Amino acid sequence: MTEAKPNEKTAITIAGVSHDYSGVRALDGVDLVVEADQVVGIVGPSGCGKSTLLRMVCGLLEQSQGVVRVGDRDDAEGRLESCAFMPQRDLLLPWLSAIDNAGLAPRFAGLGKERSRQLASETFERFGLGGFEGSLPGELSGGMRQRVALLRTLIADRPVLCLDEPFSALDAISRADLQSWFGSILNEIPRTCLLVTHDVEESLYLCDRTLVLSARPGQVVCEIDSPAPRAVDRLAAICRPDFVQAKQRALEALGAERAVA
Amino acid sequence: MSRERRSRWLAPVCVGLGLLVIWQLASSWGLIADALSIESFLVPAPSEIADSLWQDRSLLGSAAVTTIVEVVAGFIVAVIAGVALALLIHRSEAARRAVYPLLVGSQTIPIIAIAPILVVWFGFGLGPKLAIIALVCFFPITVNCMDGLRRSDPDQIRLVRSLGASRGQVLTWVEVPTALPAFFSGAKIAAAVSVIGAVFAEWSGSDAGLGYLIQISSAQLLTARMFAAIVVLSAIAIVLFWAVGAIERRVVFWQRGEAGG
Repeated sequence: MTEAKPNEKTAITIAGVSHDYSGVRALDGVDLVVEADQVVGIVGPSGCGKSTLLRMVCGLLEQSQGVVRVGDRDDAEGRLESCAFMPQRDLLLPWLSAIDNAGLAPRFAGLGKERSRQLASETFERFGLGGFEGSLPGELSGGMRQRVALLRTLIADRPVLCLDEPFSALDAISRADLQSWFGSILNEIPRTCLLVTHDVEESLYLCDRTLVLSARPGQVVCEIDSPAPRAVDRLAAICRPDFVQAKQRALEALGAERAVA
Repeated sequence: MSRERRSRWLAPVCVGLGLLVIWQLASSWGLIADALSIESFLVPAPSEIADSLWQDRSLLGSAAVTTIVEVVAGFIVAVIAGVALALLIHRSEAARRAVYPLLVGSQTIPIIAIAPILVVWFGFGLGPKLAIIALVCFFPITVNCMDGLRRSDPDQIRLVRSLGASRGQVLTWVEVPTALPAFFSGAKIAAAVSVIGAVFAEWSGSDAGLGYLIQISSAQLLTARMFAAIVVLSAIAIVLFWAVGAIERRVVFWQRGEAGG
């Protein structure tokens, strides 16, 4: 497995960021600082610009106003090089086997087919994908496809992970499974991670703290620290009174916003 | 599965045989000739055509070889030119604006009208025949390829870019594989119409091939032989169409297991 690059500095700085889509303001004056190896969740009603924010951090979109810095780069190109992006849909290439999909980033970097496969196969077993190396994405279940996509993101070996609703396409049971599994992966291999989700519970369980955004134009309503981020026993963690309290606070923040809007 | 497969070819064979029986009866009773007020020898019965297929087999065979060489070579030229044009147009907006209207314009040229002048310019050899067949065939290939190249999922492209893909890598890893099914649709249309191009080419200046045979048989009122040549010509187009389909199933292998998951 590849190790996260040592990074003593602040990992992500977002300062006064706004964004307009053809005249419509999607994000309005968002500030956020993420320390290295911290996991931060972003929740908000749909259309609040949370995915927009994530794409800006990844350098896939240029903000209309403000500063977005990842590591020491604040240009889109530099951010693209510092972030690994995982979208909601797994977007596996249907013509490549699972292992070749997982090893895409080293292939693009110029490593050969065999070397890339070797890099991916080191973690294939641990991701519960052993024996499915040669399967095409169409032959895998939704949960397995998502794990291949996560593996692909991790193998990219970037300082920052940007996850856009990575589990929302799954059924509730697979989602819970993947959450505790991904929590354990993050505990083993700490990474700076931004997680966009509409699931408050997912964010409070997986992230160190959660940012609640308002409806469009997205503004930060509040920030909530998680009582037991990535605890081994997920069920026990989400049933703790302080977890339930935090969840209530987050939902109230979302609900209050919705009532005003 | 086998029943499904049988019904797939059984239905068209039954319809075809039914039409042949009606034709056979109508022509042997002289109904068609009477209705058209023409001599009955001008309307060959299917049995006479079958007889000509057998009697003239060496004549038809050598003509078919000539035509097959022209059609296959012309088709290959069309594939190369069609794909190259589609890639050029895809990569450059300037090229699209400059070339696309000309491409559409090229399809408005009545090829049968300009074929003789091509023969005057380029002589009796294979050259003008390839040009005419390619002119008939390249358009569906180019248009389908262009659409296919543009059909790539923008999220998919964003994802591979975030994994470090260069523009060239986006083309070879995402856009070209995405375009393959569309390319094959165009190639199948081209395969079906390629024999029409071959007939135009041979009518304009040739002393061999099925098109030439159709022309002289028609002039000599050898209608059975003319129809026999048409049957062979159709068979060539059907085999070429089927061959392109067979290649497609091998190349676009991932679409078979698509439904899994």
